[in-house]
Amino acid sequence: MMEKIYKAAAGIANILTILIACFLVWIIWQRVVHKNGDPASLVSTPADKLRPGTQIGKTDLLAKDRPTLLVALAEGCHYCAESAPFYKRLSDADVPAKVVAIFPGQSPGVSGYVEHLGLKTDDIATVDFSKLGVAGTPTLILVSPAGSIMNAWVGKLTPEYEEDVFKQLKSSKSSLAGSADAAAYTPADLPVQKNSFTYDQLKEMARNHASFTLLDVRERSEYQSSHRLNAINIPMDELEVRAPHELCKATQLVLDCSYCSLCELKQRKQGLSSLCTMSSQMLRFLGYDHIAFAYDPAEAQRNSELALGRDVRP
Amino acid sequence: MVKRCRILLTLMLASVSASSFGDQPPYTSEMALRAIAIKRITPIFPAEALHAIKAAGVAVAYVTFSEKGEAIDVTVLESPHPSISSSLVAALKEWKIRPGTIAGKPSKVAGKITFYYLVERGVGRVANPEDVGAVDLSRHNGCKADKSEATR
Repeated sequence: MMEKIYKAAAGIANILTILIACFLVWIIWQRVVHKNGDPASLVSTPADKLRPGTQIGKTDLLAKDRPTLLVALAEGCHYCAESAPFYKRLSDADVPAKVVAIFPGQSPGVSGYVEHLGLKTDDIATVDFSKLGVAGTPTLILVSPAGSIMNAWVGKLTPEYEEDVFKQLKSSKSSLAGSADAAAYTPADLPVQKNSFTYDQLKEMARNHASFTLLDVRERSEYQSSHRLNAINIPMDELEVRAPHELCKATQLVLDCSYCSLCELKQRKQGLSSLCTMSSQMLRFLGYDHIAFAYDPAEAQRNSELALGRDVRP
Repeated sequence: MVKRCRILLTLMLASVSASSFGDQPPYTSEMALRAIAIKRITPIFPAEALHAIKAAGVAVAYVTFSEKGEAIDVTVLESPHPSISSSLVAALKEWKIRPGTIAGKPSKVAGKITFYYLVERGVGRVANPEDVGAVDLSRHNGCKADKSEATR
């Protein structure tokens, strides 16, 4: 009898070992091969849900005719208290958005707390932060009337980011008007129309001693696996800190970011920001005006076909 | 004995895989991490790295902070010399930040930290990004002569 039990236990242990080994291989594949070891790539973290373009479920809180700014707060959060001067400025600025303060739990004192912070709101609501993707407080989420996240800011903001919030709020209403149709984007909004160069053109420019910096903004691991000769690598998330010290404002910057024109349009239609768009926005925010993009026409065509859902197999 | 070992191995694998699925700490920008740092140690410039840097070098590390705000894991992402990597890890392990919270509960946070390693008149020094102006990395010479050749 005991022998049968041992045999059964051993069988189960064997099956479990195989399953867990497969599971571990899958995890390693996800981390190493699929996402190049991006430490945040394995599981969907709350912050992932706050990416531009993500749909939020709480549409009953949203204004129908203008964007809504959700301000996630918690009583006793010291960063919220430290952000009070910013909230006061936000309230005084008469922003073209509905402002809703959201809290993780019911509490009779929240309206007094919001008032204490100097934040004028159109509404106060209780929301499950984990479902919304709020990982910490304070968090600001700018949402379109259709429920799509336009932008999000987490934590106590630096003065630069505070200005970014004001800028985005001011531009959000006008940008909504054209979002339904790619044709509504003005040429100035397109990341690449005039100032883009093929790699052959860049070679020619280098031969003619033209001054430019080829900046690869992809992840370090992607750069290490393959990059253009003389391209320097500053990953997009490091631009804010490193660009002011390492890049010259007077020099033409040519971004290498796997550009694809139609992919850009498609992503924009979905309210998403691509690597090229985010990088150029960050650099413009830092005061860089001479920004262009590098691309391979054949690759761009292939990517565009993929973006349109066409079969591109040879 | 063999069966017991198998069962033990199964349990160990299960615990490893469970820990792999634990929540990753939220990624925090360097600006924010530096703003909430309460103990910032600048790495030393290792003498053996002097020859490896012409004018300036950059070192970047990915740091994970515990719920108490202590640096618990440091991974060097970019470094001009192995001795710089060691000095970077040693310094960043001393860092402490104001503990992060998620919905009011203490949480780990993680992000990148950058330092510039500068050599001036044969003397090396390490600088925080906010303490330096334009940095002349020999790979592209900053603002002096930005020329690139686009050939793979």
